Amino acid sequence: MPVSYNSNDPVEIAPGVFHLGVQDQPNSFNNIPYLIVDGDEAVVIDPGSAKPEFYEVVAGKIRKAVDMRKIRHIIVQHQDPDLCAAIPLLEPHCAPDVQVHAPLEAKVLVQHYNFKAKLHPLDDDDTLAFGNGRTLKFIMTPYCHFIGSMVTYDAKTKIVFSSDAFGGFTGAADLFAGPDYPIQLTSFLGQYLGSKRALEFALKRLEQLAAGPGIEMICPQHGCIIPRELIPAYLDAAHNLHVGGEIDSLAAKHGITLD
Amino acid sequence: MNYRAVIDEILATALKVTLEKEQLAAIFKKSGINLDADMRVTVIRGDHKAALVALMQNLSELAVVKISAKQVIRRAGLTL
Ligand SMILES: [Fe+2]
Ligand SMILES: [Fe+2]
Repeated sequence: MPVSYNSNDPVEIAPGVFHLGVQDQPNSFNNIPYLIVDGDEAVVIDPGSAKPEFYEVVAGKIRKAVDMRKIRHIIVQHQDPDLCAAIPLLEPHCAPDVQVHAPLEAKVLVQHYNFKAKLHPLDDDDTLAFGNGRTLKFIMTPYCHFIGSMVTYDAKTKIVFSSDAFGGFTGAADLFAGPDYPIQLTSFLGQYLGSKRALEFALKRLEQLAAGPGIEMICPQHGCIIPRELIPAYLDAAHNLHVGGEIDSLAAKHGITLD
Repeated sequence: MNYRAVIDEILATALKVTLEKEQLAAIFKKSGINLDADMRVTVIRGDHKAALVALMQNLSELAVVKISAKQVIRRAGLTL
């Protein structure tokens, strides 16, 4: 497997699982959709941006990996535009019966991306089965960083698609977390997460998965993939993350005391 | 308060989260902080606290670095 990605080629990170990352060097906010292909079916997770310089890269990579008409499902793990805005651009190329799946509380927002496909709401522990029985399980991570947020577990490859959780700020197109990733992750999540309780719940759900069926990789929507051998260290680091601190800064600036 | 140490830590963090080194050096320079070719602080013109305040204002042009720097400032217990 390569150590970095480019703007032309999807990277098969596990059998039938493709990283479709788009580098965003000026903003250090790389955008990473994923594609799962199994038999005659394909699923896109967090398809990405509507900006042409992002969408065209993603579409080009999908075309290299699969006939787009095999895409039966588009999964969005929360409502943000960096992962949902591509839905209306992608859907005309997908299977005629393509469905969009989003967490229940995100559904009312996701509809406003104005696509035609049926929008299917997901709740905790819901699953999506491929025709051959492969199953994706949806694990709600409320308030991490939005009430309608989730991660997706692929039981076949033991990959967690974590969306913003375990994301990081980097302008480099590295596939896997390197020595700077702890700071890249802290710089992003320390500011974008507001609730320690929400983070702890999400981490404990992931630890249940790790102790049960196992986690082979954590694949975030920004930053770098965390491989199995690094997952315990990153779970520990995430437990020690200080989140929601912007409130403390602004409270101190404005002379506001909070409990 | 060692404002120089905070400026150094903001720079060290910045170099881990952005590849836009020219823009970063220009922002530091505009804030009265000169960097050498190896991206190390050489000279801070005037008061270090004033330079840090100016840096935080000017870093809005490179949001990812400002977001990281806010956390450095918080960890140092500073309110600017
Ligand atoms: Fe988000
Ligand atoms: Fe995101």
